[in-house]
Amino acid sequence: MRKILLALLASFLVGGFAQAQGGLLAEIQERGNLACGVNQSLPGFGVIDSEGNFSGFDVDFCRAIAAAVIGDADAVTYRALTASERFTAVQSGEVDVLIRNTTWTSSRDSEVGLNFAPTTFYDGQGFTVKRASGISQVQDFEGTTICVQSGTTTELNLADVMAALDISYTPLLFETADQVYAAYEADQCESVTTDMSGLVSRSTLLQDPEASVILPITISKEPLGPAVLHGDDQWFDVVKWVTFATMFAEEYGITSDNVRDQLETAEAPVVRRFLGLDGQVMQQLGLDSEAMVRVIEQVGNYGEIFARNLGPDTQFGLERGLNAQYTDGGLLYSPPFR
Amino acid sequence: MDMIPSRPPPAGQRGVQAWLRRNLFSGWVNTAVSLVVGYLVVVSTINLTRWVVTGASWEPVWTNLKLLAIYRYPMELAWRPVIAVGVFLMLTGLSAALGRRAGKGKIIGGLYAWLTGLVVVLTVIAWLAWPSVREAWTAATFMAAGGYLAGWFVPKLVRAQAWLWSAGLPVVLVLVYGLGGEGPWATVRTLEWGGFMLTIVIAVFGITVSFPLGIALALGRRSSLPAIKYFSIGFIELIRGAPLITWLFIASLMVPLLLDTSPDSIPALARALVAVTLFSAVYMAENVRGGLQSVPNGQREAARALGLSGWQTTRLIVLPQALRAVIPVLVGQAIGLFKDTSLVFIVGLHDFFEIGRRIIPSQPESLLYPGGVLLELSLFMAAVYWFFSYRMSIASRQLEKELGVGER
Repeated sequence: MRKILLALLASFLVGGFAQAQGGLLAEIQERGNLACGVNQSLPGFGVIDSEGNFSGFDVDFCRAIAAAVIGDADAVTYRALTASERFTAVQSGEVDVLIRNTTWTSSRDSEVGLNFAPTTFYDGQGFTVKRASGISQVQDFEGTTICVQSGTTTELNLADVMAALDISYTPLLFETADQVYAAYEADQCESVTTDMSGLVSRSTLLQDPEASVILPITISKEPLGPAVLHGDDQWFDVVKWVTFATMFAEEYGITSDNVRDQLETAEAPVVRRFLGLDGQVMQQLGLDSEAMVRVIEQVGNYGEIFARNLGPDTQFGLERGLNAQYTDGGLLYSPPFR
Repeated sequence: MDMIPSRPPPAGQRGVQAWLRRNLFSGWVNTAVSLVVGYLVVVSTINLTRWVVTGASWEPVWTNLKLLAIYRYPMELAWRPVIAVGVFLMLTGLSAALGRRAGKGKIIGGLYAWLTGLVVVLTVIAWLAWPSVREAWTAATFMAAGGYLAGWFVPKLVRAQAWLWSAGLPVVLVLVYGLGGEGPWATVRTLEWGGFMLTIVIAVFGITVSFPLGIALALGRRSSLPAIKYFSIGFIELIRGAPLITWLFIASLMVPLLLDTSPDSIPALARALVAVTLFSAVYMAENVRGGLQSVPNGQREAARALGLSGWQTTRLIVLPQALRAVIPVLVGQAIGLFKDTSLVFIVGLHDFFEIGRRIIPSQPESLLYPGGVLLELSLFMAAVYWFFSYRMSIASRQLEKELGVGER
């Protein structure tokens, strides 16, 4: 009975809200800025600089959506959300889109009432290893010691995966992440395991960052991506296809530097449609023909976004791994713009 | 008959040596404790000093001062909170000078002198390093001085004092929040407030509103009207029964879900203010109730015998005595509230502590320092909290002295 009542209440709130909103796309264009829920303290993904400006991998996707919808990547009102308030913020309409390292799961898709746009970052449990250990793949962990935080899903994941692969290793358990890293620094273990995004933020804090490397492999699934509220399909489409656009542009070699030239020179029909030169693809999405041109020009394609925030030229030095194009053995695959 | 002139006590019973022997080395237990503690104090002081001077990286603290002070409040409007400080100091200075003319006002005078000193220091730093708020801090200094001079040379202002203070509050609000539109008076939404400014806003609001509320609840709890009495008891016990962190969670998650779903209708700041104020008010109420119980019944009876009404008795006889008895507790509570503001990160606000603890250590630049910058930031924040908390306890001590608490 209580469940039914709760479900009724939820559907009333959500449904009533979607109705009152009408088209979120039109509302955002009229308002002239995008309310984007982000993290403000996850290095590489969402941080605030000393001037108070947001930056990071997730933040760049807010900017991409604003560039497509409003025409200006800076027309974003950021809302820094804690893990516990992020879903309420979407449900109450406080933010138009949530891009806060949120893992796409079935219950969030159904019960929480979110629609997930394509995954922008395939996170998952990864490993930081000592360069000297020579470990480069999961099989190399045979006979090694791994430092891990006790009582976490990380610990269970590790045990499951290693058991399935029949690899024997010695787990060294600690209460806190600080202790885990202290033990790693003291050479009590060859590697540390936790979520990739967590490894990234710790990597530069090591005493000798050069002596360690983050392996480009993951042993669990934590797909992170933008999410919007159920009930507004047009808005969901826009967020989804702006995300795809960054991946599409990388696949076809369209970058922030050459996108203007491509407008003059592009010949491939698939690229011409993407740039809004042929067809009505963008209009069908509710955008103007140059929407994706602005995304690439103002923010860049997926490869540029990744390189700027997490890639080898940054202090995090992350390899693309699963986050490479499908043509390079990754999982990024944009459907055609047609 | 000549008096023998008094002589100093023998050498062994005065001076540094005697004091040391009497206080630190008066037996083998005390000697051992003194040596161990002394060793620890000296070593840790040396190590701390060495770390502060040579080991610590203070640069992230320095470059992020804007973030620590006002979070994302737009830099081009940063002059507005500074002028708001100026307005507050002008009024404080006015009251301090008027008080001094009347031979009173030691406490407010002390606060004024101390805050003005702080503003002068900040003005000097602004001239050296912060070009964008240079003029604003200078103006704040002049406003502080102007208020004092006005109070000193125009004693007639004493009649306008209350009026000026009540006008000052909306002025400060307009300065910080804005009037709307574009340009210098653009609205700065509370989402973009943060840092020390937010800490002060919450603390000042919480302390000033919870004080009358707490008195009302305390009186309500002792009321003979059952409705008021049981409401007060229920309210106090309910709020007191859960930690502040719980009420902040409830304010942040339940209130918007239950009351309303439209965005921004209940800003996070308002949710936090309600939770913090109510929480503080019930503790205030219990403290005041303690004071009320300490007033002997004879006082009340005597007042009634003189023909004072029930309300007059409470207002003129009971409350003044009750409050005087609990000043130390009330100030302790105010200091506690000031520091409890560091919990408001739960409702998604970015107070001073949250910025130093989470936001700055996450910046890519901070990650380049070996071991991070949390230690430096913690030390800096502790110093700032201490600075203000300690000043509050000085004011409290002066207040006790002035009211003669503990002397009668």
